[in-house]
Amino acid sequence: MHVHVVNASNRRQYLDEIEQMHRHRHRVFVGQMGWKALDSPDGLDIDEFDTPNATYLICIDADSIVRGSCRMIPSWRPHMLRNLFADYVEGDAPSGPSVWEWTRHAPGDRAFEKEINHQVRFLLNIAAHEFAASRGIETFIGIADCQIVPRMIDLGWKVEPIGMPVNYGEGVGYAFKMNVDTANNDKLRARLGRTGTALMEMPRGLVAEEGAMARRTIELAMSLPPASLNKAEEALRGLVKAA
Amino acid sequence: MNQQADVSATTMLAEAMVSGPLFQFAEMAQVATDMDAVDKELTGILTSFGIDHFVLYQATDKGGKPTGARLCGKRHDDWRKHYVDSDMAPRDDLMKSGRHMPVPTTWSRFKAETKVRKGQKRIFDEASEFGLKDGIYIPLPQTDGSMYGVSMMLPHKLDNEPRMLSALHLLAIYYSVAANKLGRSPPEPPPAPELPVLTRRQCECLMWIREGLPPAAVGDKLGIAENTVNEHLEQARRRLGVVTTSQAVIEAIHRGLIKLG
Repeated sequence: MHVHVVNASNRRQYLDEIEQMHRHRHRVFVGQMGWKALDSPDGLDIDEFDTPNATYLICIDADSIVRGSCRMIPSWRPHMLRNLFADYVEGDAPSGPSVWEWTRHAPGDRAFEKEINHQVRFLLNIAAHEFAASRGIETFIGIADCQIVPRMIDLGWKVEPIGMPVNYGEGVGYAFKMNVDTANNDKLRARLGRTGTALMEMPRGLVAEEGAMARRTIELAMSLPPASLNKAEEALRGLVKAA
Repeated sequence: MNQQADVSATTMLAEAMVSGPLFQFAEMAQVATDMDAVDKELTGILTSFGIDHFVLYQATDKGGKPTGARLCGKRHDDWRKHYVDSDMAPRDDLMKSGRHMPVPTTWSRFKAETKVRKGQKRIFDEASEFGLKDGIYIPLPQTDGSMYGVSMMLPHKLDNEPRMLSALHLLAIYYSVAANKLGRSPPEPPPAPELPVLTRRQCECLMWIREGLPPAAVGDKLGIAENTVNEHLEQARRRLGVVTTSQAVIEAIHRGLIKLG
């Protein structure tokens, strides 16, 4: 299972998974957490921040089933904390090229097995660190429900409030910031027993069918032990030559 | 008049309170290595609100059962002793509140908005006799399904100023985080006594023996051989830790595995 970076440049390769993600979010936030404001007759959770500015980290299993996701938006684009909940922040919210907003965090599902949810919870957090490294992100900002904060801290984040708790209608939460600490990613990997990278990002330009095949090939390659990579490359070169 | 003055002072404090010290406490609580230092820091902040006593405890366990197990805090010793000696936790409805919407509640608001039961009223009345006129309960749901709570108590009536309640909520969250991290967790419940599991057949054999039937007749009733009945009885005696079949019948009745008659 990998966490895929899905954004405007490669979304055509993930059309089915993107729909699954919106459906999964609706199931989690409306069906399980009871957030009535997000209820939608089509069973999809989509809001005004699901735009080409958003990058999704989507946890997809070997059968192409979406197991969890979260949404990342750069702070220089419209985002919830600036455009909807500015008054949740005391003073100015952090912003700039190294600050991204993390929202719609939906790890797992009550309908999934416990072990899957455990993996997804860790994988999304490991992927967030890897994504941060790939984009030069130093700080994540967002709004966390008070009930979730101890879980975030348990996952090694230092969650710093930047506003007071507010009743947002579906619960009580507050604006936060948290700095990315690469050392924490090593701890998360150790806790999950994962050695390889969790994040996978497909290049732009592949059409849907090619993209799906390329994804499978890359995932296979990522699952190989380093000692076998030479052999795999040789085999691949043979195929290219034959074609 | 004095009480009114106290309320105004609390409100003014809340309004004047800048978030800086709260955010600093949040930061400190996450990296602290010593719970005493966290207690000291929180005491300093709460004293400015006129709050002298605060306790973090497990309100309910994973199954929703009230425990009231104290984890840490700066308690009011006499009141705590009275609370424990009088076994007040099971009657403390305030501790059960907040399961659906975990928001801070003051005692005065709870009294105004809830139909207070007799047992709960007695808790408030007796707390008042100990000089605790008002308080705040802040429910903190835990990831394992249990509920922690922070109780803060003070000698005068408290205003329900929203900003102050938010501030106290934030402090309580990070106080609980520090307590969890530094190992202030509730004591493990005593292990449930192990029930010897008898099979359905073993119970049936014992029930017919209880009726006075010999093993051969029991075999007839159950459609099994006498030897098989004896084997079931032997297993039942072994599992119940007794010597004779009569003792097995008595023990099985005593432990609720079969009925008396």
